[in-house]
Amino acid sequence: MEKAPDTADFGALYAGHFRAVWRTLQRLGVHPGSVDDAAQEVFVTAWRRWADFEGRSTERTWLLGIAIRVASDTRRKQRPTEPVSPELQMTGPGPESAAASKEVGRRVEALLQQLEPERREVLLLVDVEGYSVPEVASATGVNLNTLYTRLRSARQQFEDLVKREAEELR
Amino acid sequence: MKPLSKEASAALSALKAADPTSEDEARVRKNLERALGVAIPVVGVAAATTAVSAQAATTGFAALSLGAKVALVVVAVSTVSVVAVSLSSRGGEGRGEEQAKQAPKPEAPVVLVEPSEPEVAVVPPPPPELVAVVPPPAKPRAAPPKPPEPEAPVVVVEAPIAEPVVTPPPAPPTAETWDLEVEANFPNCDPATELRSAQSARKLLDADRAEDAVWLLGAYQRRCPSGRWSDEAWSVRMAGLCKLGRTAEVVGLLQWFSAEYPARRAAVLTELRSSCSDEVLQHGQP
Repeated sequence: MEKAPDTADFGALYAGHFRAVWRTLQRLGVHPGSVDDAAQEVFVTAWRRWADFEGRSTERTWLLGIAIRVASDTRRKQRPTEPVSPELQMTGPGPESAAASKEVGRRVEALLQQLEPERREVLLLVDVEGYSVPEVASATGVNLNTLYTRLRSARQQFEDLVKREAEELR
Repeated sequence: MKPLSKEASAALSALKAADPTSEDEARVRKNLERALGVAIPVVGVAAATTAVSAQAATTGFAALSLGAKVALVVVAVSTVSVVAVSLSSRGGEGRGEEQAKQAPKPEAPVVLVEPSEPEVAVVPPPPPELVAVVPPPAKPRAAPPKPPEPEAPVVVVEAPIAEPVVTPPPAPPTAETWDLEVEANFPNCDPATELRSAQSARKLLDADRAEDAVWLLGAYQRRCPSGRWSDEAWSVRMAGLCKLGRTAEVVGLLQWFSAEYPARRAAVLTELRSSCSDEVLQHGQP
């Protein structure tokens, strides 16, 4: 039986990365109602695989890899009718523009949904969450050049979609 | 690789930061403890002051420089407010609006201008060495066992300001600490702020604190994912990674950078020669 991690070390891991894990899960389309369970699953997996973590990647990328897999599993279990990421809304300057901002947020989310899942994933992780492409490569095991290609395609496709929607977004 | 246009960046930055609340964190922690059958110590969450606790404990607060003391106050005060107040609730200063104002990454080097006034207005502005006085955010694995954490750091500042008394929280610095640190000291996503963050990271690097330098730049990048990223920021980041032995990441970044900004490659390579091996630099060819 594998040795369980020291609870203090695990507590530090949890404290240091919970926020990023939570955010990433939502970015990757986990329904807000399922984020609790998904985040819990990420850290349960980390606990169980603690001995497997050999420092070849950072804790950040190690947890990102787990979160990506958990998000993928969770999305599969979500009912198709469930809206994806309704939390992804606009940040607005004040309550008076909240409704308009929310609408724009929905439009942006709708544009993102038109991207292929793999492209959307790398676009959100790199251009929204700030991970580097090598970090995503380390977390997913996907070839670096493949990820750059996906990111390039995703950006181009998203650009085209934004241009098409530009008038409405304004 | 072509960066996103201003419009596309603005659209992405419009996506709400889906940050969890402290209640979310506590709820998941509770469920996690139930699932694992263990008690998970509460560390590092509420305390941005964790970044300075170790130093305060070992050297004594009185031994710190004025800049460091100011930094302690800034970090601690920001902890209380920042944890409770999300970026999006700041009205016109919210992250989304800041990012919406950003231009895409330029093809050519950008002339960066120092800010005309301090970024931090809570107390007298911290000097540039603010980050340098913060003890390194030890990796969570290396953290010593910690007693239960207080609900929030307690900061008492005696008039006029000279000797604030800080109750040092027990937890070590974490990624979140760096996020809070960056939020407090580099609140904007403009070129001047980005340059300041890169310069602070450079100081950490020069002080043989490569890991801290990389953490700082990572935290800034998380805060400003669509930032401009000057040559200095890229140089410090890759140099830090080289010093940490994370050469595979450097090669990947260098290949990408060279393809993306061929005109800026030579300058960055020059900066990297003192930190990275020739082999790494050669493998970093596009």
